[in-house]
Amino acid sequence: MPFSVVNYGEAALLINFKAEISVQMHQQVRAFYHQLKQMNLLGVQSILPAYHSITIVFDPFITKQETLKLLIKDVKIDEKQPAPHRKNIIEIPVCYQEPFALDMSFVCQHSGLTRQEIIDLHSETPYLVYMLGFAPGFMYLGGLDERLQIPRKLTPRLQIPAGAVGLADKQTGVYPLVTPGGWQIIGQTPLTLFSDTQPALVAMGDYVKFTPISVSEFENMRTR
Amino acid sequence: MSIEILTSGFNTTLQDRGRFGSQDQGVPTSGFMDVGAAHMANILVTNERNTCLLEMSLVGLKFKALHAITIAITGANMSPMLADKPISMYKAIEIPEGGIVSFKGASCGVYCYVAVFGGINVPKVLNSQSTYEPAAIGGMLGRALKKGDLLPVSNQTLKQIHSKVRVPPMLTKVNLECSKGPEWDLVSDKSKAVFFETTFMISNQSNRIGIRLEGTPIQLSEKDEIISSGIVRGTVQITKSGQPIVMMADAPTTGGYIRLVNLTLKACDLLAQVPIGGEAKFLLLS
Repeated sequence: MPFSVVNYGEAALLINFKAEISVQMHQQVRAFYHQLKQMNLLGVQSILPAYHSITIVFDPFITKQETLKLLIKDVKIDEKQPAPHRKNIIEIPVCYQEPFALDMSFVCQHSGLTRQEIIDLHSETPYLVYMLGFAPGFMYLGGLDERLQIPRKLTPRLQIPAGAVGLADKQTGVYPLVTPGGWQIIGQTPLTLFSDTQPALVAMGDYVKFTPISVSEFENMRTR
Repeated sequence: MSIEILTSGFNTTLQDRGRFGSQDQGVPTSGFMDVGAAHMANILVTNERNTCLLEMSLVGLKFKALHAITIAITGANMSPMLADKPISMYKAIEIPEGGIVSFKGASCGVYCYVAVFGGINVPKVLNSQSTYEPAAIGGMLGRALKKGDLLPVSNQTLKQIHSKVRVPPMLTKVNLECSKGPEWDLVSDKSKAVFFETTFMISNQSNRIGIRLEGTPIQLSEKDEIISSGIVRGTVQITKSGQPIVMMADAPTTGGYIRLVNLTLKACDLLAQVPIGGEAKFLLLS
C-alpha cells in the first residue's frame, strides 16, 4: 500500500495515502494507525487518523522528523486483514419530532419525502464512522442515502443544541456541543456524545445506527 | 492554600502544554498560545516548563495571595503591580501573605503569563490541566477565571531567586518564517507570489482557535477544498475567500481548507503576541 511521509511544520509529520474517501482506504488508514499506536514511538504526542491521512505530532525537544521517518518507513500492514474489525454497531436514539426537528419541514419540501419516509431512510442503515474530528466527539459518517442529500442553510444558526442531528450535502451527523452551524436539523439525541467523565461513545471504524424515539422517551432518557 | 481572584480581566484561563492523546476523538490540543513565554515563566520559578499557569489576554486580572507565594510574569506587558508599586517581569518575585497583584491592559503584546512556584493544582482532564472553553473542560471548571475563584497553589516559596533574564521584544510587525504546507502544489505560482508579497493585518476575529489575517485575497484554483485532514498549531489555511487563518492552540483537529504553509514554532509565538491591527508577512524558509 503506497503512502508518503512529509514534514508538516516543525513538530509534525503527515502520512498521506491515496486521496479518496472509501471503505478500503479507511481500513488501511485504521490499520496503519493501530500499528503506529502499538509502536509507542518516543516523543510522539498525538496520532490523528483522518479519511486518507494520519497526522503525527511530536515534541521537538525529544525527537525529530528524520528519526520518526526512519521508524515509520518500514511499517507494513497486511492488506487482506487490515485492522482488528470491531464491528461495533452503536445505537444512537434520535427524536425526529417537534420541538427537535427544527428543519424537518424544509427537508420534506426539498426532498419531496414525508416526515416518516425521511425518518425511515435516515434510521434504516448503519453509517460507518470514518473518523472523528473538527470538534470533540464529532463523527464523520459515510453512507447517507442520496435522497437525503440536502444543501446547508444559507445562513448558519448561531446556536445549535448539543445532540442535534443534521443533514448537509453528502453528510449526516450529530453536533456534540452547542455550536453555531449550518446543517439542516431533523432531530436530536438525548445522549451525550462527548464528556470528560465517560469514555468515548464511538471510535473510528464503528458503525452508528440511529433509532427513532418519541418525545417522552427522549425526556426519560435525558433525565436519567 | 490558594490565591483569590479579585477581578477577572478579559479572558484569563489556566493552561499547560496541552491536551495530547485525545485528538483521535476530535479534542483540540489547547495549551499555551506563546509557548516560549510560558516556558520562561515556569523556568524562572523553577517549575517544569510545561506546568499549568495563568494566561491572561489583552486585559489582566487582580488577585490576592492568601499566603506567601513566588511568581514570575512573562509575555505581554500588562503593567503588573504589587499593591501600588510596579513589579518586574521576567524575574521571580515573592508575594507576601495578603499581597494584591494587579494588571492593566496590555501596553504591548497580547498574552501575559503568571507562573506560580509549585504550579496550580486543578485536576487534569484527559491528561491535561489546559482550559478548553467550548467543551467546558480543564482549568477552573472548564471556563475562564471569575471573581471569587480560589486557585489551589503551593504554600512554599522559592528560597533562591534567580537573576532577571533578557526580555524578548513584543512586536507589532512580524515576519513569519514558514515551510511549505501539504497543499503547496495546489496553489499557482502567481497566487503564491501574492501571498509572500502581501503585508497582512491581524483581524479582530482572532482568538485562541486561530489568528485571521486580512490582505490581498489569494486566488485559489477550482479545487479550493480538500478531503478533511489533520491540522496542527501553525497550519496556515486559506479560506475560500482567499484569506489566511493561522491555526493556534484551540484549533479544530481537522479541516477542509487548503493548507498552504506551516509556521515555525518561533513564528507561532511571535504571531500570538501581535495585537489586532498589527502586521504580518510570510517568509518561506528554503
